[in-house]
Order: sequence, then C-alpha cells, then structure tokens
Amino acid sequence: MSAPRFAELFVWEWRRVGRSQLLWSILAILAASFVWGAVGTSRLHAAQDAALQRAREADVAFERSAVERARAYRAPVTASAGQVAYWQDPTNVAGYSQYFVRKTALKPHLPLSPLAAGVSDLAPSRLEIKLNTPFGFSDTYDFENPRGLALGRFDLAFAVSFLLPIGLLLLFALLVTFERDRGMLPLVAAQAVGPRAWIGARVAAILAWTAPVAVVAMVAALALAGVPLGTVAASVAIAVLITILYMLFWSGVALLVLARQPGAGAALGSFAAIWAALTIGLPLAGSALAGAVDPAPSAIEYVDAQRRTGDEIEADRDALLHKALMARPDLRDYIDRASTLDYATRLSFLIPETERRLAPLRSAIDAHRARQERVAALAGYVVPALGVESAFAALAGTDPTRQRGFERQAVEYQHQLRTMVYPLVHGEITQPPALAERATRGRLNLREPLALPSFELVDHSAAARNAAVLRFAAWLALLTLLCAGFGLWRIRAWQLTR
Amino acid sequence: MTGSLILLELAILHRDRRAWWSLLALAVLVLLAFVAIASEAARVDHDKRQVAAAERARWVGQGEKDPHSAAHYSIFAFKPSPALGALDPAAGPFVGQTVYLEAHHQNDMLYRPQQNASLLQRIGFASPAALIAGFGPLIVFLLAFTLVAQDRERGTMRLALGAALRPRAIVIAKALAVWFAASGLLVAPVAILSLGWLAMGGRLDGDILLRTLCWCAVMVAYLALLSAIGAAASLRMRNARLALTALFGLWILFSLALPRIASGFVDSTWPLPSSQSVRQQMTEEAPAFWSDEDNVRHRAMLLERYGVSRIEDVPNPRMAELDLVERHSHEVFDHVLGGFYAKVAAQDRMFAVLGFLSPTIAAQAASASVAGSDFSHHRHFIDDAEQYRRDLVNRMNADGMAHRAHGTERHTNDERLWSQVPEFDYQAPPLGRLSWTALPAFAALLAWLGLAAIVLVLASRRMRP
Repeated sequence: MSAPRFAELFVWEWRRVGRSQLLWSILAILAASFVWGAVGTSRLHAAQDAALQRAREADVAFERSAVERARAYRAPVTASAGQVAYWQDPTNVAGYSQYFVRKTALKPHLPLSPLAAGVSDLAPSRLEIKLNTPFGFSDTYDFENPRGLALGRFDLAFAVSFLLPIGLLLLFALLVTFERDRGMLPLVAAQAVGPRAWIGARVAAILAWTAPVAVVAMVAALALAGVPLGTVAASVAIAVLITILYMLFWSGVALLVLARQPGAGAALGSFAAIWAALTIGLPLAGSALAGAVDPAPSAIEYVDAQRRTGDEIEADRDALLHKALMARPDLRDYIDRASTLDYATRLSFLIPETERRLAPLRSAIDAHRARQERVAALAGYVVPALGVESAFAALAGTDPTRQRGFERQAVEYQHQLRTMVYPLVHGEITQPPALAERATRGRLNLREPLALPSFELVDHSAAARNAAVLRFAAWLALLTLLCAGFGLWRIRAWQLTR
Repeated sequence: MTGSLILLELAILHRDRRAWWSLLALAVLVLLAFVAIASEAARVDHDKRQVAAAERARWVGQGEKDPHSAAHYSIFAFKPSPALGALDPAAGPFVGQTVYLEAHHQNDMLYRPQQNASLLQRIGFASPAALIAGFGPLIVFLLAFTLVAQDRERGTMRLALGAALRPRAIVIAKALAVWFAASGLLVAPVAILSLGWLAMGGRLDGDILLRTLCWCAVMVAYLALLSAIGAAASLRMRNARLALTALFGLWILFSLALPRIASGFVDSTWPLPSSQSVRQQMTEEAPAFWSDEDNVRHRAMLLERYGVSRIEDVPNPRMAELDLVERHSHEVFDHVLGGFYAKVAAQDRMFAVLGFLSPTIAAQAASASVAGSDFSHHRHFIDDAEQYRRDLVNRMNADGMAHRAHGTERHTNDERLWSQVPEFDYQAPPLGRLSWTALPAFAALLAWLGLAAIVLVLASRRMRP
C-alpha cells in the first residue's frame, strides 16, 4: 500500500472539514464580530469627527464675533455705550492675547480608523489652544462612559486579536481530536500515513477554510464601516497579512499541543491555558512589572507643584517682571512700568517662567510615558495579541505615537502663536500709557484681530506607518515558523496509548 | 451524607492537576491584582491627603485680597479611592481624581489614572472582580467538566449513581463542591485580605463591612450559578466533547463577547452628546468671560433686582454682577451637565438591564455598585464638590456685595473670612443610596441564580449517565 501524497490528503481533509457545521457556525460568529467591531468603531469615530467639525465652526464663529466687536468698539463713547473693559476689548492687544486668542488643534481620523479604536476613546482628539496655558493645553479629554472604557471596546482589533484565535483553537481542538475521542485513532494509525502528514493536513485544511473567510470578512467589515478600500489598499493588505500570520502563529501553537494527539478535553484545556497566559497573564504580569520597576510620577504631586509654583511666582511677581524687562534691551527703558502692567501682559512673562519651573516635573511625566510606550511596543513582540492590537492601531492612526505627535505639534503651534502675538503685547509696553478717559469704546491699539494660522496636523505618511508595522509582521512570521516547525517536529509517532 | 459527598468531590478535584492548578493560578492572580491596586490606591490616597491639607493651608493663608479673587484662587478637591476600590475599581481608572473648584466654572475632573496608559497597561489592567467575572466561568466550567462530564465519560458516574440511594444528591454534591472550591479560593481570601487591609488603614466601619459582605454575596452567587450551569451542561450533553464545547462557548459568550457587545450597544443606542457640544452649550449659555453688551443686560437686571434706577445705588455693582452671573451659571450647569450625567446613569442602567442576557454583565454591574466604584458614586463626588464650590463662591461674592465699592474701589478681606469656609471633607454615600442604576443587575443575578438552580434540578432528574 503506497502512502497518499500530502496534497491528496489535504484535499480529502479540506472537503471533509468544509462539511462541518461547527466550522461554519464559528466562521459566521467571527464574521459577525468583525462587522460589529468595525461598524461600532466607525460610529464612534463619526461622532468624534462631527465634534471636530463643530469645534471648527465654533472657532470661526468666535473669530467672527471678535472681528465684529472690534469694529463696533471703534465707535465713540456715548452715554449708553461706554468704554469697554480691557478683557472684553479685542482692539486692545493685551486683552486680545488673553481673551480672544482661542484656537483648536484637531486630530482628524484617518480613512482606515475603523480598523482599531486604539487610544481614540481615551485620548483627546481636540485640544483648546490659548496663549497662556502652560505647556500648550490643559489636561483634557472627551467624556466616554467609564464603564465602557473599563470593559474595553469591541472593535475589529479586539475581534481579531482575541476572538479569532479562540475560534481557531476551538476548531483545532474539536476537529483534530475527533478520532482520538471516538477511539478511531488506531485505525488511522494502521493506514499508510504518518501522524505528521495526517495532523498537518487536517490543520492545513481548517486553515484553508478559515483564513480566506476571515480575510473576506475583515475586508467586508471595513467596507461596511465606510472605509474607502481603494485609497488605503496597501494598509488594508498589511492588516490582512498580519491577520493571516497571526492565524498561522496560533496554528503553530496548536500544533505544539496537538503533537501529543490529545482528546478534545485535554486539547481545549491546554489551548485555554495558553491563550489565557498569552493574552491575559503576560500583559497583566508585564504591566505590573513595568509599573513596579518604573512607577508613574504622581499626578497629585504635579497639582501641588503647580499650585506652589503659582504662589511663588505671584509672590515674586514684580521682581520677576522687573528682571524680565531688564533682560530685554528693547524694554529695559520701561522698567518702571513693571508693577503696573495689566494681567494679560504680565502673563506673557510669567507663564514662560512657570513653564521653566515646572519643566523638570513635566519632563519626568513625559519621559515616563514615553518609556512605558516603548515597553509596550517591545511587549508587542512577546505578546502577539498586544502586537496585533498595536499594529492595527498604528495602521488605523489611533495609536499612541500619532497621539503624542498631535500633542507635540499642538505645543509647537502654541509657541508659534506666542511668537506672533507676544511681540505685539510687549511692544505696547513701550507706548505711552492709555488715558483713563478715551474717545472710543475700544483702545484701538490693535485695529483688527490677527489672522492667525489654523492648526494643521502633519502626519507620518501611510508608507511610514506601513513600514513600521511590517517590522512586527516580519517578527510574527518568524515566530510562526518557529512554532509551526517545532510543532511539526514534535509529531513523530502515533500516540496510541493513554 | 451530603457533606461527605462534597468532601469526596473536593478531594477528586484536588487530585486533578489541570483543574486544580488552573483554579489556584486564577486565585493567585486575583490576590496579586488586589495587592497591586490596593498598594497603588494607598500611595495615591496618601498623596491626596497631603496635598488636600496643603490646599487648605494655601486657602486660609492666601493673604488679603478681593473675595472674588479668592474664589478664583479657590482649591483643588481630591476624590478618595472607594474603600472597596481594590476589589473592583470599575470606573475608577477612567475618571478624574481631582477637580479645580473655581468661580464661574464647573470644571472637569482631571488626571484619569489610565489617561496616558500604554496599550500594555490598558490590556494588562485587571482587578479581582474583573478576573473573577471574566475568567471565573472558564475555571468553574473546567471544574464542573472534570467532576461531571469526565466521570460520565469514564463510566464512573454510572457506577456511583447505580449504587446511590438518591442519585440527585451526587449531582448536587458535585455542583456544591465546584462552588465551594471556586468561592473558597477566588472570593474568600481576597475579601478577608481586603477587610484586613482596610482595618490596618483605619477605614473599616459598618458600611464598609456591609459592602464587603454584599460584594462577596454577589461574587458567590455568580460562582454558584456558574457551577450549576456547568454541572447541568456536563450532565445533559451527549458526550464530554459536546459538554466541553458548550461550556467553552458559554464562557466566550457570557464573559468575552456579551459584556463588550452590550456596552457598545447601550452606548450607541443611547449615545451621549459629545463633550465638545456640552462645553460649547455651557460656554454659550453661561460664559465665564462675557461681553460689554452682556454687561448692559446685567446692569438692567441688577437695577430691577435692587429696585433702584441708577447703578450707583447698588452697593457693589461689580460683585453684584458677578453673583448674578454665577447664580445663572449654576442653573445652566444643572441643566446641561446634570442632563448629561443623567444620560450616563441611564446608559449604566440599561447595561444593568442587559444582565438578563449574561450573568457576567449582571455580576459586573452589581459588583461595581456595591464596591462604590461605578459612575453613580463618582457623580456623587462631582455633585458634592460642585456644591462646595457654589457655597464657597457664593460666600465670597456675598461678602463683596455686603461692602460698598464703586469704580476702581475694591473691598478686600483676609484669613478671617477664608477660615469661615469649612474644609472640603468628602463622605462617600452609604450602601444602597446610589444603587438604583444597578438594581436591574441584582434582579438579573437573582433570576440567573434561580434559572441555574432549576436547570440543575431538571438535569439531575433526567440524567444520562
């Protein structure tokens, strides 16, 4: 009796597996979960995009109102319309700088955002930029129900990284162990086929059904979520590649267990233990370890430091302003005005000083965050589920790296605005003091509100994002080869006795 | 007799390495999660107490100034960790820990512990309640499978039932053994540890003891119904493969899929308005910086309020205007933010209703409520802090209004007034006062428990050994 070729065995198994109701039930559930995940994330992002649009419109309305008021306040003072307070006066450069420069930095979603929620439910995509907010913007967020945040979002990345392996392992555990549980394994072993070919063909047959269906379901889910597939084809292709590699990785893990030719109970028990260890246990241990080795700087102490610094600066206010004016050749001659500067003009000197004093603490917080994100990126290579989530978030543009880039650019944008407005505020110090009684309602040292540039987020190109993710894909391929190779190597003989 | 049977089943469980070690591994994880969260909460609470004391000292010692400036200086209020937060932090890591209580603004709570969490920290964050709710079913089903389905598969159950006077007692004993093992290792140690921890920290009182007992009751009820379902499924399925498949499927459905699906369904079916629109509405209806045109309207209202025809006849028109605007903003905040928070609570209530679909959802919602860490309890702090802010600002404005000042004149005050404002001292509400959002979850848990008991009894009547 000649041994069947692997291809023949595979085709036979492929046909047989394809008739399994279990296979199609699991694939249907997985496909539904992909669609639910992608569409749910798409809805979240659509709501966030609508909020960004409203913020844009609010900015335009605010600026229009400032222009209208600036024009209205050129009118002469009358009995019914008197002088306008400086903080209400957009024609006063100091008042304008503090109360009328209000722009919004926006982080719009990328076309592939339904792929993963990433940090989009937690981190703000809209930052209010004012000149005198220390370090660019206040700690802020868009409120999402904390119950949902604690449970985690059911997005496509979750469905792929957590549910897909469970479905796959369930299929392997039940379809590869059938003969063992029915006592038919000795009959199979009596045929002219080795265990490696037999188990390999069965596993390959299951994969040959599940992988294409998972890919089609994934692409269909993205299409249903409104992703313009044509414009993000390369990124979608990489997401598909990672999904296939991830399925192959879990198939390799399954082979390691199936090599012992266990029954369904033992196989499922082992699979559950490995799955729980890789997707829950390792992240839990890694997170606890990273937190213990490198604890986060206390946010509460930062509040305290802010308050202390604010008090210290207020106590030394006149001395600091004196020193600041002395340091500026163009303002040195007006040192006597240091103690009579208005609040907004004072802030233009004191806020940079506040930032300077808080910088070490702030840097420590930022550095800690950066270290934790580096640890998470490295952990993605050890915990494939985390790696897949990170990779999908990177492709979707909902990753922490893009968020940090957005925040960094928002700070730079504030500095850009300061370089445009502060010189005008400081220039006013050199002008003769305003008269207590004036002819016009406004002060008119700023004829029109400035045409300040809008924030434009500069993103990494899709090619750069894809390239970063491909490194993980290459690593996953290597892991897959190792697991599958070792698993196949372990299948050496029939295990007929228990 | 039943006691002996249970002991026997426990001994069998203990001998099954796979089941027993899985249970032990989860029990160790539960304890480690508790210690990690409790020690972090203790550290943060210590910081909060210290900085709160410093805030009080700063407030009282802020020196002589205009009372309205004092209202702007104000204080930061800190939310202490819920006493049972280490058992179930629930919403805790995703809500702010402190709020700046200043005039004109009802600010957001700031510094959410998970705000800047890396993906590893977010995926790797687990609490005792989350571990028991999420992985308790897997372990309990594995134990039930070991005791029931494998017994059937090996034929030992047929022998045992044949020799038994009351076969149902054997099945009940198996379910009880699973329940005792799971409760004894997953719930009891962490609850005892929590009580000890709270006692050492001087936080243990009647309410916290009652909350701990209720939390234990919720978790034990959850494990009981899982034990019954596990035993019943293992009894009724044609063979062990099918039993294991069904139990595995139930775990995925109950614990992995349905909680997230239900949460997403609730959030998308009853969506919250965006923070942007809420903030914009508040800014439009109660601006902190108003225009000169608004001043004109305010003056007219003041003249009417004081019953005078000239603004000079109002003792302190600036403070009177600030008070007018402040009180108007309270109405706006109650209307806008109050409505927003009511929608959050309604979402949570709907989520609790969906506990009838999955016992895990019911356990999660009930656990968060008795632990005092759900959004209802967080809102209690928000409201308490906001009331304190309003009292403080109103008091400052009232002092200003009581003293005549016109034009550039400014009335000032000092420590004598600042120290009259009581210290901010938050007291968490007693158990039961804020449970209404979670009531459907308690009902669902009871319904599941009853259903599971009925299913187990029916399954034991129609046994197929």
